[in-house]
Amino acid sequence: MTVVVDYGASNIRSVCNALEELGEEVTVADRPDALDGAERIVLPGVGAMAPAMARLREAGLDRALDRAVREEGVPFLGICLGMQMMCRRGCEGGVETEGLGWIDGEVLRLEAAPPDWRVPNMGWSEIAAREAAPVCGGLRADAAFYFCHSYHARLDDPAQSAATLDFDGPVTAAVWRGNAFGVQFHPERSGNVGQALLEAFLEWDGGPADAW
Amino acid sequence: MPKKRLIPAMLLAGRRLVKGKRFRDHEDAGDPVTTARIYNDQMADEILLLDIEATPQGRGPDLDTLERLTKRCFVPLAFGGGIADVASAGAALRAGADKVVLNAAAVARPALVGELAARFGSQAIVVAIDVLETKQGPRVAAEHGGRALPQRPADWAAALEAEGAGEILLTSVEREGLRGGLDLATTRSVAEAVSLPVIAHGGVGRLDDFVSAFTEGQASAVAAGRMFQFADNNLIKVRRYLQQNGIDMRTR
Repeated sequence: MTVVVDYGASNIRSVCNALEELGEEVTVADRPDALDGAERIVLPGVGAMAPAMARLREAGLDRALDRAVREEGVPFLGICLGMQMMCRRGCEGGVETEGLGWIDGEVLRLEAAPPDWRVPNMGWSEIAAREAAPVCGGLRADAAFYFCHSYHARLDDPAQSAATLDFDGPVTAAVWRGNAFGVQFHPERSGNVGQALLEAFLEWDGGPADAW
Repeated sequence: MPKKRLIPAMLLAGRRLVKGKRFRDHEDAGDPVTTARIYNDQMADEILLLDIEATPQGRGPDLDTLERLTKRCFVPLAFGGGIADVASAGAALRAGADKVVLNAAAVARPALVGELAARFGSQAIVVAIDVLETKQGPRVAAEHGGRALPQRPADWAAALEAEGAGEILLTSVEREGLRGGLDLATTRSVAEAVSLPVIAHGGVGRLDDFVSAFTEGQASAVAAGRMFQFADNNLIKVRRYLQQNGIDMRTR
């Protein structure tokens, strides 16, 4: 049973549909106690980090997530903004936002360089995944995923990067620490390749327990 | 850079798909849910669904069809028609759309673009610009392509970017449905005026039209209705042709 976190700031339906298509039982959590007993947790999200973190905190979901992921070792997947919220902090429009703090990195605006590099970065890109990384490590090299974002995570520790994409240079496509995994792209909107990644997440045991 | 995108454009009217010429003369074009399934399976890079009756009939978006359609659709979907405020945009996003497309509401009140971007993020806000050819050159069209405004498309696109738009859907009213080729000059002028991605739409008729939209037109994506729906040119064939012509497309 996978719990999808709903903090009222995003379209969670497409994530639920994609997981259900794989035969997974999905429940939606909008309260801290709804995370109790979760086998896996997915944190979706689109848009800006500051209001999303504020909503997560208002609902008490930040502490519940911290407990489930860091203390209980529940396998976790952050998607798009959900991945960015795993980071230490964001700086959107000069406003500093504290994130969940699981990944040592900060969220910055993508720099546009038209005509080739436009922001928001919208469309399909291949990713370069680290061979040792879980979830995305076993994918074909030409697998392309759908990205739709104006911000990216700059990591302090390369060991926490699971994959990069080329956006006028390498940009974080996936992060990884212990049982917490995050992707900047949208697997629920990435066709067969995205379904394969979600399937790999559903089969992942969460890795070694000593990451925290 | 991201791969170039092919976007089937689906026009919704009375729970059926329709296809017209120059924004009129609509004929039946099939069931929206089944058609979206086919596009999904043919690896459309994105799907554009426009409820063309919502604004003229003064009603909200057809969320029921949207919901049924997105249930088994695993590529991104942009939805337009009847998006007039934060409430209708939020309802469309909750019903399964990844992005909303604004048209009439952005012309009436450009500040709405910024309000929606602040609430949902720029990446979820596509603004449609309909273009009419006039004696003075291309101009932004209002009222479903019926009236030309004084603004040039490139200037309007730059203003929309400043408001917080995330993408521009550029449609040529006179070329729509006729398969005589895209308006490459206007597409390029808009693509050069903004750093947002631009979707070229209206007039694709030959396989080379896709190539020139990406090269000459500097478009990030091409949307087409008739070409994918009625012609013997499905997404698979078009994608293969583009790859053979050196355009970076998604292969799996």
